[in-house]
Amino acid sequence: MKKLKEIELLRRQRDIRSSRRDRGRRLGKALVLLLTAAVMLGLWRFSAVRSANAAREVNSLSDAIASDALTRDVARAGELELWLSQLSKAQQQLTQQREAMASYPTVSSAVLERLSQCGGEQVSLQLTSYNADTGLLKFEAVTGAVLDIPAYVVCLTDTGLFEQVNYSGYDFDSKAQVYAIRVECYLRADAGKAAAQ
Amino acid sequence: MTMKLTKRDKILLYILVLVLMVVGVGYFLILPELDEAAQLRTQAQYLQQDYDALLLQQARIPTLEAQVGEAEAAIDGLEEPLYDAMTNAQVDSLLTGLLLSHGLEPRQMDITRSREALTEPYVFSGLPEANEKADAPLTLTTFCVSGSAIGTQEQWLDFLDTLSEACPAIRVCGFSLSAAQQLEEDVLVSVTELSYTLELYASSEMEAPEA
Repeated sequence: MKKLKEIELLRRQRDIRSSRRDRGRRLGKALVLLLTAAVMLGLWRFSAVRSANAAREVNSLSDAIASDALTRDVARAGELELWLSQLSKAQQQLTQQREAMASYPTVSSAVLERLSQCGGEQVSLQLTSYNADTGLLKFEAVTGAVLDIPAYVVCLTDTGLFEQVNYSGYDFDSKAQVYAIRVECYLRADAGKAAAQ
Repeated sequence: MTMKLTKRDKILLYILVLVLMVVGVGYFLILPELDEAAQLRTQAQYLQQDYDALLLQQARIPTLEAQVGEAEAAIDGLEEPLYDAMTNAQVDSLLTGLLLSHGLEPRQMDITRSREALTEPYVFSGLPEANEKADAPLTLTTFCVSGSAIGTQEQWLDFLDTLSEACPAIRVCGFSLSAAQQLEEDVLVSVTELSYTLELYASSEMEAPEA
């Protein structure tokens, strides 16, 4: 009888130990589940916070970009840049224009005086026309001395006023008893300016 | 009907629950958030770049204003020899006055205003230059004036001397002198008729942006 009781006690003790062990295991498993859930939720929360921070940054940058002061200043800077480019173009055009204006020969009394010096008293000069595009200066030169004509043409070339002197002969005017010299002269760009100096 | 689960089944079920929890939370909650955060960060980077560029532009305003001031001063200097903005009547008055002051008798004058192209520089070729179409000048108006007058060669040369010395904004494009006859007190007298073509350059205003 005593033995049977002991056996019963031992069985109970074993059952109690086994049920404690089972409860501990169940608790452990639940704890692992809870911990995993907590970690996963923590990770979710962390990513949500990061995403919210990024959204806040985007909003604040968008607000800053759309601010009235910045928009106004940027528009002003754009206008100034455009205006500056127009001014630079105008400046370049004016420089070009001034250089072009200065590049033309100047027909003046100094030029005619220089031409008259070539012929001396023998040759009389009468201006006929001038074309600035080609530089062609036309004049009627008449002389009574036919032998003086070649020297006169050489002198015209030597004046340094012309790029080109085209001499094509002479015609005798029997009425006036003079020779009309056929000559076309193309002015150099510095003609007139050099003569004036 | 009840189902008896073995210990092994229970362990497998437990692992399945764990895996489902990790995958479910990761896939449905964490990954979308991470994607959204990445997109927002990229957007923020672009916005930051834009913002930096705008700030740079804003900071350039004082420099731009200084450069505009310098360019305007340079243009004023370059425009100095040009006439101020003129009307055709003012051009007529100026040139007719000049002709008369040199003893020349004006007979005819045509004035046309042009802002089409700049003057081509003189290059000797013996042939007229074909003008290429360039950009219209921004601050320059050209008046083409052609006309005729009666006078002597000396008077004309005197007029040309005045133009070359005192009127740098007038260019003689061409002229011709020819013999003509005119009635003076019922008598035909021989005179010299001068035909001329001039260009007169005047400045014109550009519209500045409002400050």
